[in-house]
Amino acid sequence: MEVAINLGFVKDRILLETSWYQNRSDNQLVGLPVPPSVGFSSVQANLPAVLQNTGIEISLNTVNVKSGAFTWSSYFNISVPRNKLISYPGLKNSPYANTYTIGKPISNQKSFHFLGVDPKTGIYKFQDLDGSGTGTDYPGDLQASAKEIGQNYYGGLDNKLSFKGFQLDFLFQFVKQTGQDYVFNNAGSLPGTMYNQPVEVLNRWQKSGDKAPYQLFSTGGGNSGAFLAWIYASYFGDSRFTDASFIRLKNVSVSYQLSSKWVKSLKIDQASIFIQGQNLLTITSFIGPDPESQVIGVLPPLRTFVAGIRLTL
Amino acid sequence: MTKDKAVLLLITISSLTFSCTKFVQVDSPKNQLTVDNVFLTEASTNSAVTGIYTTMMNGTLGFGAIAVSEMLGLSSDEFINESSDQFLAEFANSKISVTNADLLEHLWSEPYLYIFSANSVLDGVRSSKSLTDSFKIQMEAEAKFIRAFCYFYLTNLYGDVPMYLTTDYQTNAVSTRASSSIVYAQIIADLKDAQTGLLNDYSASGGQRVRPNRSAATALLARVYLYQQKWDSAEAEATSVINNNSLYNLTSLDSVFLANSNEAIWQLLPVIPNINTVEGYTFILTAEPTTVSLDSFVVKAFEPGDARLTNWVGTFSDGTNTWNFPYKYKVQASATLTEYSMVIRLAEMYLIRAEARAQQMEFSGSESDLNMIRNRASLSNTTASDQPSLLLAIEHERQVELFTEWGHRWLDLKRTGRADAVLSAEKPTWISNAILFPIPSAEIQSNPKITQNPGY
Repeated sequence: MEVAINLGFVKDRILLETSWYQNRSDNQLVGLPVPPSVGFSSVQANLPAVLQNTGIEISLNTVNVKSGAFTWSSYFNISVPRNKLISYPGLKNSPYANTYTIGKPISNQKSFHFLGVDPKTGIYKFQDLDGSGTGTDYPGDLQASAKEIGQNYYGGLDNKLSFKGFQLDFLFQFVKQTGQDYVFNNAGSLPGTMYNQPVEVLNRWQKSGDKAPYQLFSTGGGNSGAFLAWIYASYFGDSRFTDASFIRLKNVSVSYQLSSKWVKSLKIDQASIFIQGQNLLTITSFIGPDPESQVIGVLPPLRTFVAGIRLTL
Repeated sequence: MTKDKAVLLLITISSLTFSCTKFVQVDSPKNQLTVDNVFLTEASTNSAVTGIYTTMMNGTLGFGAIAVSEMLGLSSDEFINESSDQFLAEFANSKISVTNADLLEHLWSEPYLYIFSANSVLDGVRSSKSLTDSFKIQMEAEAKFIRAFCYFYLTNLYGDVPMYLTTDYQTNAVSTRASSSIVYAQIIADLKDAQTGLLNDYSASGGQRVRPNRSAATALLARVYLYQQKWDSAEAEATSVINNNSLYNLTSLDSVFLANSNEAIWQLLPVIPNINTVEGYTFILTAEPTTVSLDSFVVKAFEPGDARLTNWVGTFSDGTNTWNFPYKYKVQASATLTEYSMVIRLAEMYLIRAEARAQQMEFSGSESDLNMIRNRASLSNTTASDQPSLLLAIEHERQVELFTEWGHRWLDLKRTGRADAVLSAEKPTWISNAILFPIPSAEIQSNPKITQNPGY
């Protein structure tokens, strides 16, 4: 289902397009996980779940200034997607019982609620839901993550300015999202063992009373619990998710068209010079190579510059 | 116009009439074997069964190759963890987490995979129209043996476990845990069928002792009865193997673990190129240990003059430190196969019968069985003569005879209820709940009906 409205004002100098959609899908063909004891890990089966995707998409095209040789126009768009598990008959006894929650996005997987480092012991702790004394009983202490994992909204703002032969284009991209944490999804090895680590883990708990974001270094020996706490934080905790929102100056391009009289004398139809830059600036609080992909170990988008001359003979 | 319409109508009718079956049905893939094709011939059925043993042995931490010996040896008092593998450390520290990857992969998913394969063989053989009845009985018996063997370890490690007798995954995936007594009843039923259906000799595997025969089923049944404290049945089954002396004899200590040795009731054929057994490959030390070394509790347990200490225990020294290692298998790596991985051997039958007889107050018979094992190791006859002293002597003899083989020590301490007394004295980290391993979280994640063991 989709509803849209397109409006134009002031001789179409302001164009507004708005749409709202909702679709529900059911009986999806998925690789349904089966318990490892069955002998294999998944089967192709229909999921008896109803999923709903809704969203609003707005785009706004404006010509801000148009006087003589100077023109400035902007293009702005924003998308607000939402996903929700509407129903799942028999969820309680299904392979997804410890993963999904009805009424929540399916990306909100059940996790242990991470409470940071215990200042006394120096080891991560988790919220104790079932009153057993530890916060890592599986599945007793699992809860739907409070963080809405995935994109809350995203969009872009493009501006075009031109004056006589000059033209300037720049595009901002913005995303508000919760993504994968850099340190807790590094999934490499326990900090304290002889393996490379993100430099952030240096900010660790060292003595009683320390308030640090990361637990003590440990080789995992003995029964200190450091190894298990790290496993829980890296694989089962909501510590795995973090704010990965960002604003990025994606593209800037400047060009100048040489005067046609002058170039014609050189027997050239048209000539212009240009310079373009990509991924020039990223504003984010995310730690790690790239908030957009959040992937570790691959090259983040490169900052590139291209300059050139274009001739038409 | 009317002509065109008539042609269109004709096309519509013809496509309606001749559609579907021919277009939609896809032939079986030519480059793959499907279930329908596997159980057509004896050769491919045999491959389906022996493929299970190949998978068991394919991997340097596999369930059949080493996982049970190594991980249960760490859990008891046989091995010291020398690796940086945190998951192996958890076995040694009596604190296995529900997320332990070694536990999930090698001591849970693997045996269940072999059970699935055995159930597939059973389903396939039963519904096959081209196999002969006698061959069907033999293959069903072997599949049931594999199933019983896997459930034996599962129920001993985890207590109550989900039990599947078919490949119907929709039912299996939502099962609850079957109580240990029900699992044991199934194991006994399967082993009795295996006894009936399997051949007496090793002709099914070309004379090599690498596929279970009737005696293997009898030997495993003797062990199961011992664990179930059915002493007379245990004694009878053990006797039946011991009396089969045309096939089985105690050999000298240095030839016990050779390929097809006279002591072997069932061995697994190594499949990894250029090594013999994974035990020899992993345990033998030629440098500072990086996996496991033999715990001093084993070394100290030998009586003075025990030939097994010199024959079956090796030492390695780097000048500063000295480590012990199990030296039952002598080949660390070789392209020539001289040793097979021992799963069940005759010495265990003597020890089973000695224990079953002691429990039934047949002391002289018990002593003579025990002395068979002691004398081979150049030890004099046992001095134990009443029930408590004989049972302790047998426990001790099992420790030094069967060390680092298929977790015997761990399973013995568990079944006799002696684990708390022995291990709390030896391991500062010991807790009573460690006697049952945790059900891996991946299992509970995909089947919420599965409950967890106490203490996890």
